Amino acid sequence: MADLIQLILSGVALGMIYALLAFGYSITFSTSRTINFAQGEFLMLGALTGLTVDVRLHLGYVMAVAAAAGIGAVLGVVLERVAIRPALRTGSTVAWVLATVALGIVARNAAERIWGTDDSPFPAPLSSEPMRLGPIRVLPQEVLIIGIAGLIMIAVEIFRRRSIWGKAVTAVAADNEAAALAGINVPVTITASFVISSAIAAVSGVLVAPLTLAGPTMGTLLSTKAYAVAIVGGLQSGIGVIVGGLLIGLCEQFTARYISTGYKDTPGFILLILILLIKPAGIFGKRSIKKV
Amino acid sequence: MDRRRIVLPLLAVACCFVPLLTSNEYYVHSVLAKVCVYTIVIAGLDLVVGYSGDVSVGHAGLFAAGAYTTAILMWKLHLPFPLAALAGIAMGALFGLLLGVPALRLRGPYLAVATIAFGLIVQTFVNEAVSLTNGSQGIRAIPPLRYGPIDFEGNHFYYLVYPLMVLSLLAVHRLAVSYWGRAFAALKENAVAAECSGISRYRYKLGAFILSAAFAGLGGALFVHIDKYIGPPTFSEQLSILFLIALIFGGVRSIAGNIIGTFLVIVLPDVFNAVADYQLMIFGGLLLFTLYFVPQGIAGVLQAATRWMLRGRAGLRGRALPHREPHREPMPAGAGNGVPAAPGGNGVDAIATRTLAGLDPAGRGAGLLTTHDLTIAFGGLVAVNKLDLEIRAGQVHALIGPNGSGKSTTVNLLSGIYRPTGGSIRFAGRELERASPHLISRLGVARTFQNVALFGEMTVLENVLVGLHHTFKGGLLPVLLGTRQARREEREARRRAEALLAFVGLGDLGAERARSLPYGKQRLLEIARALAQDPAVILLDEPAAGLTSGEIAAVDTLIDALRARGIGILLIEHHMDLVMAVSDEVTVLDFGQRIAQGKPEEVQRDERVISAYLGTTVHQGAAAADA
Repeated sequence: MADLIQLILSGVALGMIYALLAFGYSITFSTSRTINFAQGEFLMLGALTGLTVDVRLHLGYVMAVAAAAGIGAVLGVVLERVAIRPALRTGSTVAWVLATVALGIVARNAAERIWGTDDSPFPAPLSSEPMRLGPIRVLPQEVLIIGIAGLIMIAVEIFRRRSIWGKAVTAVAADNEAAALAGINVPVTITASFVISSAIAAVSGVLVAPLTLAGPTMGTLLSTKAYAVAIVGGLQSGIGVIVGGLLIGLCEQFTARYISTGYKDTPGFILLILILLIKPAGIFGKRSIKKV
Repeated sequence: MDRRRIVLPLLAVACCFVPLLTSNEYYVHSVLAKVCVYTIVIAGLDLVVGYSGDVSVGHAGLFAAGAYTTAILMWKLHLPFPLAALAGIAMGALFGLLLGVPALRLRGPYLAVATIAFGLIVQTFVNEAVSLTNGSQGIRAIPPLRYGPIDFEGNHFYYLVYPLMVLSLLAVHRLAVSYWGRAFAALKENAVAAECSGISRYRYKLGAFILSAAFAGLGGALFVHIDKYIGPPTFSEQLSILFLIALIFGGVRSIAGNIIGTFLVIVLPDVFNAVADYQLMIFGGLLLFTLYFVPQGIAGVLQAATRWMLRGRAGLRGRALPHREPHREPMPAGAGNGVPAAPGGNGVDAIATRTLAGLDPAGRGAGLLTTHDLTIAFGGLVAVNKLDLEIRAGQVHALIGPNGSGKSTTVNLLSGIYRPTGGSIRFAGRELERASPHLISRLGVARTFQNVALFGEMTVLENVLVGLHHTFKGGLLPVLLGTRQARREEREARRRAEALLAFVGLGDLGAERARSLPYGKQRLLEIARALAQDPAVILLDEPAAGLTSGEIAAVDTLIDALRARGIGILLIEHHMDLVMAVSDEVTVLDFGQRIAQGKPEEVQRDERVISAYLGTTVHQGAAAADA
């Protein structure tokens, strides 16, 4: 029983990281119908920047989070300018997919040059010893991930629903031509969505690094899982990505525990393909009627 | 054109002898043979990305399916290579079917992610199914390609892969210029319009993926013999991305582009070997540069450059090149001012002979398309409510009503875009409620669109050729083999398309790009495309909207000409002069309900029609309130 609860907690923590990344995808998808295929590299750059700030400069974990958010925001602007905007002009899916991938390749290579190719441990801000609650042993970092990830998503959702800026995002998502006619600066809104999305990715790097390791390839698999999460939950739904993230995080932990660690990565993708066949808009997505 | 016919085959044959120039194993085996193998995959990928406009980041999975099937069959069952390779191609095609299913319903990021997931699942399976694939160890014990005196090992491998590459490129080229290529392009530009022109989305979307996968499978089967070793790390998402990079570098929809792009992707890493640490950065940077400054790829640049040079030369000689400039002949009589050419002449065989022949021969006035209690509700909104309609051969049935009264929805129901929630649609003795748009088109119900839905990037002639899709009876094989039958079908379709264009008065505009036509001519082109489908019934959704009075007169003449041929017409229109002039019967809708039906002059006098269009007067409203 204690084993089961620990398993669930690990699954939830992992799921929250997926959810954060997928949440980032959903933000840019809503404004520009694109997602950032360099999200995993942004997570990695966030983690490594955080590592430098925390360990090398001895500025502590909070500053590490702040630095990651900052670098993420800058990367977001660069990505939007260099990769997304020109690709949107050509109107081809392949263009933005490849452009963001290309930027990711450049980012990974740059990270290898700056920080080296080896993975380094990231010191846990709280204790790295598990807390004991009766028979259950809990890693403090897992609790931290769940808490901070939850807070970030709640904050962004409130911003999106309550503030006038958030309304602009909603308007651009619904119809960017109409939004432009209503005086909303659509390009700026799109840039802003990439800033927020990339900052979130970078911060999740700092969150997850104490559990994994920090290194140039740490983001690859995480971001790929997050695609699956985004689609399973529905790219247009905030709650959807959380449910999707938890679902896939838990499935993976259980598969690894009870089937085989080799197949740990498959349930997410199988779930993805099932959803695509049954309900392509995602569990929480709405299907729109196409006007002819 | 003719010069290319001679030069290209000569060049292709000449390249076969490249290994005679050098015996360097590195150049021939590691570079040239590899370029050939990858080019086969890239050419196949072009079918999905370039021609069909979908995205696949999962082609490494298809490549793996071909490679592993071939390797396992040769290693464990000792099958000869040709059999094992055929099995590899078949396995690739099967996996392509699986990969293609999501493409039927998804676009953009959704499809990209689904294909990534597909690739990862295949890679995981290869890694974990150790008893079959040898897991992370990979397969090494691949028998040599030596059968008696025939030896394809080492540099001789090139003599196997090079001809296969040429054949693959030829096959893709033939597909691209055939009705298959037009179907891909039509679905890419406007899936709904393509389906309503008789193109099955299932057949051609899945077809593109399956064919593409077959090429990837062939590439995989050959890849096995490059290093005589395959292992899971090769078939990663990175490989899928590398394929895409090669395709985009070179330029889509171009044989030269496929070869150049592949060559660069294979050679560049070696070129940058000196700066190995920064290799990926340079690669990524180059890719960004290409996407930013030359989105059409290197082949696109070369094409533009040659065109520019040729044009310069032609300019010196004082004549324009024929293939770029649409040839303008003097307009035929009656075709001026957009008025259709007089019926008869060439137009006669252009339009269906099956129109009445295949159907009830009772002729004029016989009911063709009838609806009974036709209803559709979107949530709580009943857009069309219990509508009874009858469209008769050789008669014009007008459907009018205020905006939002359900007219276009009715057309969408009749053409299969929406599924009715109740009632029936009968056509030629068949129930159509659940039929797909392309089947409805095939049966003989064609339509035009309220918001013009042409294939803007295609030429005017090609738009009509899409409508003539149903005249191509030969399947895939004749196209790939370039048989006489396939060529004859293409020739005949082109002749008919020209005749149809002449019939609607666009005879001299066939080579123009559809999007560059003025609005009124676009509407006429839509009618030509609909007529190409040999319709017994044609649904015209506001054919005169946005036209000048001269153009409206042309539409008027055209409708009369169609009626004279016995075609049943459903006309949706706001220009009442036109409606009253051409209609045999008028149905008036308001809020999805039929409020009047009858001869034009009867409907015109109907109280309810007048109030629906103009609103009730204050006096009547007050009276109603009193009552």
